[in-house]
Amino acid sequence: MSPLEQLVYGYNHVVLAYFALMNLMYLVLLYHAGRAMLDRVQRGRMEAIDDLLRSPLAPGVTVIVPAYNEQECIVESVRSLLALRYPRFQVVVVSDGSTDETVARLEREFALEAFPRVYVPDIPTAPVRRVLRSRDEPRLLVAEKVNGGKADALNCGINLADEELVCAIDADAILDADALLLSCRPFVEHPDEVIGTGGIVRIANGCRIEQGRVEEVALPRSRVAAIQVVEYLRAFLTARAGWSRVNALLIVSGAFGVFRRDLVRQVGGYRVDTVGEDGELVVRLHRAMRDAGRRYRITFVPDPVCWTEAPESLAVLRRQRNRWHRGLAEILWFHREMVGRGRYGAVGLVALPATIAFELLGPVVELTGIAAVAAGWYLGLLSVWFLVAFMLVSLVFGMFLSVTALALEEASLRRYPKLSQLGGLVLYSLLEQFGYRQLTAVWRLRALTQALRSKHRGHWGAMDRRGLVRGR
Amino acid sequence: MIVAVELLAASQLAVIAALAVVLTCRRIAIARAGRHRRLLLDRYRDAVVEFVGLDDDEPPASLTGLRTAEQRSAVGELLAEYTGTVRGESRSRVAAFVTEHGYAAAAERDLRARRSWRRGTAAKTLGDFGVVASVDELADALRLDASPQVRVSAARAIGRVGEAQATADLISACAMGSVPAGIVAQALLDIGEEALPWLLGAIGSPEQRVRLVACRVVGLMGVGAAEAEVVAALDTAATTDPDVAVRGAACHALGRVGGLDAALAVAASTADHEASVRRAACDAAARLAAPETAAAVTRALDDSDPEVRRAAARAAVLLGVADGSGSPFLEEAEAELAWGWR
Repeated sequence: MSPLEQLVYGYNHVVLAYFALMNLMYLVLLYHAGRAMLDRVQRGRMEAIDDLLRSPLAPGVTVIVPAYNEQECIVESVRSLLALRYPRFQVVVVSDGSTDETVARLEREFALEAFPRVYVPDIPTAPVRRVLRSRDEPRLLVAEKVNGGKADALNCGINLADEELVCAIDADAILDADALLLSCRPFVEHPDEVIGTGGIVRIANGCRIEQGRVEEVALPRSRVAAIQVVEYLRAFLTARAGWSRVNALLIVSGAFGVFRRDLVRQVGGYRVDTVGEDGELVVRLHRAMRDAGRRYRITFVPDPVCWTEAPESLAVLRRQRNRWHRGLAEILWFHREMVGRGRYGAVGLVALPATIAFELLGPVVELTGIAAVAAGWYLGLLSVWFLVAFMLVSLVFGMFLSVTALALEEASLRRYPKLSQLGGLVLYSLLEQFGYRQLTAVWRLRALTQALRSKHRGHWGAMDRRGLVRGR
Repeated sequence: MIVAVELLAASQLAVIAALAVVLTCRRIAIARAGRHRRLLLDRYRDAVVEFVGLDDDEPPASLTGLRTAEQRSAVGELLAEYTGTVRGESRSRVAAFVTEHGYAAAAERDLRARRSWRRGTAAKTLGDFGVVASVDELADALRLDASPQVRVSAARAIGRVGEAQATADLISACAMGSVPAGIVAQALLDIGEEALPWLLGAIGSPEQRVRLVACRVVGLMGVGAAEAEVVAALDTAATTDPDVAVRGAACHALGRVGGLDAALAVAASTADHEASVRRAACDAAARLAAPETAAAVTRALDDSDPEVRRAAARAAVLLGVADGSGSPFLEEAEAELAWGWR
């Protein structure tokens, strides 16, 4: 065998081992996710959520809505947030140097007036120009500040928060009426342990939305968006539910997460020099709590739903995936000292190494693996049958994970009411494997190279939105 | 090697196909069973609502003499659902009915079922029925059941029944960590003032989480300042407890209890070395609005921590001791008061 052949042959073995390990990890996650969802089903039979609504033990929540040029959706979004079912909460909108009518529309709609609020920058932020409040709706506070990015706006909201918990939510996201109630329940039950919770984010494209609420769940008409429905279900119901069960959840979605305000302040709030500020905060909280030797939990709660608009064009999707993967790379770089260290428990020993190996480097191995298997065949090292069998097992396993995520959804939450929708999701889990998966791998590989060059940090992720909360 | 990989792919495909078939069949079966159950529930709903809601000792004829287990299960479910929403005489009347007609006994039997979800559901049903005689069974489930979810359900149910006899079991479940602290706190709140003697003892517990729960519950219970023992216990916790969270919770509780002794204890806590306790003391002072806290609140206006200064300003404005300080937090607090938020 020539050195080239030896290299290709050896690399093929590496790819095979990598693939086997990755699948093993996903199977373990699937097992934990299955147990978590089973617990959830059993629990649902034993308790009524309205008890919490009446409970004086429910902690107060400040819902923070960072907004940058959100004039199309901000009024309806705030109105729908103020209508959430929760005993005690305030809404803080932070306009991060918006150049459109975001603040003006809020001023008109809610009769806002300047309020002499003392701004205490516990977490340093760009200057706050003014704070507005409404005499009619005391739960609403609006801050107008100099542009500093999404993380900076969130930090401003945390500085202004009065309540014990802070909930970060995207301005264009839609929460189910009980979402806050459900995501705060772990804080009520384990007040001494739970420091953060994240709910499931679902795709609202195609759903019927009226007055800031999802009234009828449906699949998107766009195939690109429909495939993302399957992707999201897999990510939340398998990966996040699984990692959460071993208290190694590394990401709570920036679109909807609840945290203890005092701890977020203690660790310094959101980092402004990354595009992955949501995940970075979670990893930093893990780190701080484990460094302090404190018992804690960051939990994924499958019931509370946040609806968001998914990109329908490949160009916008590419930008989104690029941002996510760069964010992931930055998080892992910032916290590289945690990797493989026993003092960080399951986070340091399992979740971070697995995320590096199978998420961060996934596209590298996937694309070079395809090339290596093809080269092996070209050089006569592998038969065409092996090539076909390997590709088949790789694609089928991807589909297997998606279908099992659908099974978890079906066994527990069942948010897609029609049988045809279920069939559609199974079909899209098949379609995802042909082209879409490889395309996102290419985008993520490109994002990784950009992250290595440390470009594009701390921006607002611009997305051409169609405006969900205004209805369609 | 190729054969192994092919076998793997084939087995995965088989699993996917099987899952797709199972999902479809299950969806159809659930829809059919759901329709059938809804019809059954609808048949008895009006009778149950009438029986639970009206002051009539005689149950409607349609609720007695049910023959099939399915009918009894539907009526039991409706009784649990609606009884959980009423109090007083109506609740006692339904409790007598479910005891006489065997619904409570059936749920008690289910507390020993093999499947944990059946035991948990039975505990919930007993809590909704509000049958006092079931509390011992529920306490056993709270102490002995292997499933955390069943223990949680039993704790909730004990609270819903509202009898104090299992209070000690609740507190010890909290101490052992076998039931989450928040669940125990809610159950104790549901039991109400009858649980007070145990709660006063719990404020001095060696377990931090028990002390914390006790302070929070006593504060939220609405016990009056006439209960000198309560104020004394909270005073001790607010000033001497080694745990910051417990001291803060005790301050909040003192603010709700009210009275001269509570005000003096709160004033003392405004000098605590932890900012979160000082803030809690200022919040309590704002709630008490007692002149005995005025000097302490005025001092707190110059606290090193801005959160404490904000809380002190709110209290100072309510107490009318804000003049001449020049703190920007006072302007904020005055605006809040003027706009009717405090």
